[in-house]
Amino acid sequence: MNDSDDDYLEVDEGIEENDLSFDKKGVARRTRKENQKQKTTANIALKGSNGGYSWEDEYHRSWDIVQEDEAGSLEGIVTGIMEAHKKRFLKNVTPFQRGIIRSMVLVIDFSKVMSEKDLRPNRAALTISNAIEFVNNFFDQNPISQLGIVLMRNGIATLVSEVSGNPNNHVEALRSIRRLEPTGDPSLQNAFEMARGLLLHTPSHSTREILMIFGALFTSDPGDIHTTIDSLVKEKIRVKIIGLTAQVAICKEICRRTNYGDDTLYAVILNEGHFKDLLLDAVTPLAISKSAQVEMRGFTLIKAGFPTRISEAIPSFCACHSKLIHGGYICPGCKSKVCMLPTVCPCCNLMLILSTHLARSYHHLFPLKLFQEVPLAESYISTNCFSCLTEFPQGMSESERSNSDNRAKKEFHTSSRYQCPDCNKHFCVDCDVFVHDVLHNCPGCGC
Amino acid sequence: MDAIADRAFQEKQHNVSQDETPSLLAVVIDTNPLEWTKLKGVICLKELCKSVLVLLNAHLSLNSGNRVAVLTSSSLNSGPKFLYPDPNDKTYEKRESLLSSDIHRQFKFVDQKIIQELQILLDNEPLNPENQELKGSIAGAMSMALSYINRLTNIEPESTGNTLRAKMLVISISDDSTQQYVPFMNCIFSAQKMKVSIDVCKMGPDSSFLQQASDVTNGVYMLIKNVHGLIQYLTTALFIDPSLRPIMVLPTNSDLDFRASCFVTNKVIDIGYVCSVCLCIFSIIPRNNVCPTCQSKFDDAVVKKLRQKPIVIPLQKKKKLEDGVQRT
Repeated sequence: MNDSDDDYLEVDEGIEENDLSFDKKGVARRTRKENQKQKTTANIALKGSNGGYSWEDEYHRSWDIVQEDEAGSLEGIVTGIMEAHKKRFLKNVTPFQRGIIRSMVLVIDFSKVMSEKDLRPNRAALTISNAIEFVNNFFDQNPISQLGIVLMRNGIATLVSEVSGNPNNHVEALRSIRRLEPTGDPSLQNAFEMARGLLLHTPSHSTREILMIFGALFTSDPGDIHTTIDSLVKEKIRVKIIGLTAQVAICKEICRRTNYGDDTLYAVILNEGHFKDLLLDAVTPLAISKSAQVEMRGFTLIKAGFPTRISEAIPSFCACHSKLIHGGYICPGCKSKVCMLPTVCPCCNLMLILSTHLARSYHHLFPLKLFQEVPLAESYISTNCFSCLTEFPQGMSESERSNSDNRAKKEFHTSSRYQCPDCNKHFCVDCDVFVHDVLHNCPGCGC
Repeated sequence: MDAIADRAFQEKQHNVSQDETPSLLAVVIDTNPLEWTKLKGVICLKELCKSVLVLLNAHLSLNSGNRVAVLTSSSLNSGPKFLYPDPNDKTYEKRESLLSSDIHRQFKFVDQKIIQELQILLDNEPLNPENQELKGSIAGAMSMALSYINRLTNIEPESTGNTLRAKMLVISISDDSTQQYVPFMNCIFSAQKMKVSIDVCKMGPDSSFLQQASDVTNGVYMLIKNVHGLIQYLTTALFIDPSLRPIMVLPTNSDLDFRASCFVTNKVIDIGYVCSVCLCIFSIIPRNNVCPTCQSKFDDAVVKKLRQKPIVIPLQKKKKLEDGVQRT
């Protein structure tokens, strides 16, 4: 494919990255580059453990990493994996002003490269199933947001489902494209232009976002993509791209320019798990950046209606789908009946939500403080996890710990206790993960 | 309900009739002493305890794999606490048995433990409650119960392979506290995610938080007027096994007030304004165009637009053509 990666750019600046047609020439350039600079310009982050590129490293099989300890137990490694899982949550918890009400277009690459089988069963199938999961998570955590889905296929952009707030429609649409065969080339420009069009009518209080899953290393565009990028910047549309193959310079530039110079929103997957994690990151609303705040004249106040639910013995028509249904919600503004919330009243244009929908987003705004690991000690104040009653390992003295029997066991190298900074109660690692991932409440603080 | 809330519960379960999966019943008992004094003459904790023990025994007898957990919500001395199972099982001293020796061993073990722990809790309560702050809340106890349910239904089956369903029963006597709104809602949503239904047995004042909890999680909400029939309520309407829920008509009320209350004036409102940053709800446009909760400055142009009153445009007189001359 064309070589629009970082190394290439450092040598040959000023050549258009989306220039596709010079495959041969590109190879020649790469060779020249290697002669000139060798690996000195290589990104340090790409270096593996032996000093070379990570892809030159010896391949580690997953079953080689797991090793039994002296007693033949896997317990140590399992705790290690649990701890590693926990690290994922050691992220930023400072409360940010976030754009809670979001409008997003999900763009999925469905070009020929997506039929490759480097992800199981193939890229397209895994992408679709991950996307379905993403849609469910997205609406679970952002109930008052809107989503639309666009497909890049055969060099054009195809609309899969319109921008709407109903997760079922999107999931249905995604299921239906499972039957499609990935064909043709992807076109970034066409996809972005369509997404722009879809986001054109979003109200000012809503964020405008594009999330792209991009499998190819090239794009075949009808015109200059830079003009499209300019208009994306102008319309304050923020783009996040997840690459499935390798880093592509134009993608990085798009992310950087549309996110006020921050290119961390562009990421390339390492494996299937990482793919899921990257999609999960996109579920959390983006923080409003400082530079964006300066530009804004202020935040908006939204007029919203809180409808009452009714139950009926005889079905009546709803104003939104003209279907006969039992019960529904009555718009407080115009007294028309809608069948599903959240929605915009089809009659009077009032935004209809339930207070529970708003409550679903509160944990983004008031994140729970991270628990701290309790340092090793001879004795502890707690014997059991505060919330699930699991027994903790007992404390032991230094001499006992260095005892040859115990040294190998990993459980004696940590206290297995995690402390809430507010209530000082101790929790086990499972509860810590659960509390931060699902519950968002500290059971000990009780409020 | 709306699409989001329904999704978790509408997945069709196959072979419902043959399902013998054991279930866990987590009971949260409101032990707020100040609220219990308000119910003096109606029902006392002892009577409630009797009925709850019957419920627990009934649950245990349905399936040998069934389990129970009992928590208390709040007291002046300690916060949310497990009555059963007891974490300090090893250290506890054997007290004189309060129960008949003929009782089924499993029941005896649970019942005795709960009675003893409750007695200890009550013994530790200070006699003059002035100047004492209440510790703990229903939301805290529910959070604990959910963590425990998470351990038994999601984490332990990974190693043991025994699957378990779970449901929660909240016995509440106190009024809603607005301070608890956010933790309470977080509990409700995680219960929904975990497919744990929350049944509510309510005495005293009606609670809109708990109504929403049971509505979102497909549970049963019952405001009990006649406390003498408490056993009956607990063992029938509030005793539906999770596996039977899809095929039962639940005795719950469907007319629910979802209206929100204003953060500033505390009035219940139909139409309000929502701050786009912190999602506060206002019945009026806040003063100085600044959100009182998160101090965000609102866009003046938007506020101006919202302040606009509807104007009645005067009807234009019909233009008539009279003798070919246009009159205005």
